[in-house]
Amino acid sequence: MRKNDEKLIIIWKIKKNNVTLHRIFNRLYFMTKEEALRRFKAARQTKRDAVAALEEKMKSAYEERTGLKANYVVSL
Amino acid sequence: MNQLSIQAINELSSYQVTEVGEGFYQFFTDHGVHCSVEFVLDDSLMSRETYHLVIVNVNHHKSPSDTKVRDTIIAIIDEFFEKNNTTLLYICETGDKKQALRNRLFERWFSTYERKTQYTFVASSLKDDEGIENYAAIIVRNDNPDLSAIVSEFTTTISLLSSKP
Repeated sequence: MRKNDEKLIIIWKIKKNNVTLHRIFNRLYFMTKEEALRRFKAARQTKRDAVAALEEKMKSAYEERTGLKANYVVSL
Repeated sequence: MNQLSIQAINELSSYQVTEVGEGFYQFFTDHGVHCSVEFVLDDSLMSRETYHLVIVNVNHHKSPSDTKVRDTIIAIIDEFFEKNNTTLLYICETGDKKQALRNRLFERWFSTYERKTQYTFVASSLKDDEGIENYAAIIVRNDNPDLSAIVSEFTTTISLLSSKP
């Protein structure tokens, strides 16, 4: 049996039994450096968007509550 | 995400925490700092259910270091894992070039957590295509049935990015 056929059989078996495992296998087995970078940057952007939205919301809530300017905004 | 118990959080935390929305919590410190902690669902990096940990502090003036902030955030994270056996992902902000500082702070917080032996903490640094150093970490409960698959996926992805072309 050729190596590619073996791969396809493994994929078929995993796909049949467990969709999540199939997704993980696909990602790891076929992931290139470019794909890994794309995924990392997408995750980082999600975090950045969440931080930006939260900062805006908190700054206005702080200023409304205290009447003071929110000069120091720190995100982790 | 399963809802956290505010009562359970406040039994452990140093500051009084309130729930603002789903997965969104806040508290106010002795120094007038308004802190928020949010768990944001994201499946772009990991295949399994994963939440970003987002922490934002706002104040009128620079405030001194406060260990009660750390204790309160740890109480929230503790309750998150009590109710959700999922992955917590922490990616340090890089916009102001203080990512190494954030990473050290986060690692220090985790090292002081008294129940840290019940968790797997994997942290790594990687350079993106613009040459910017990034820090990322995951925290997973040791009794997560998918622990090895989660750690393997994270380390494989990160090592791909750390490898030279």
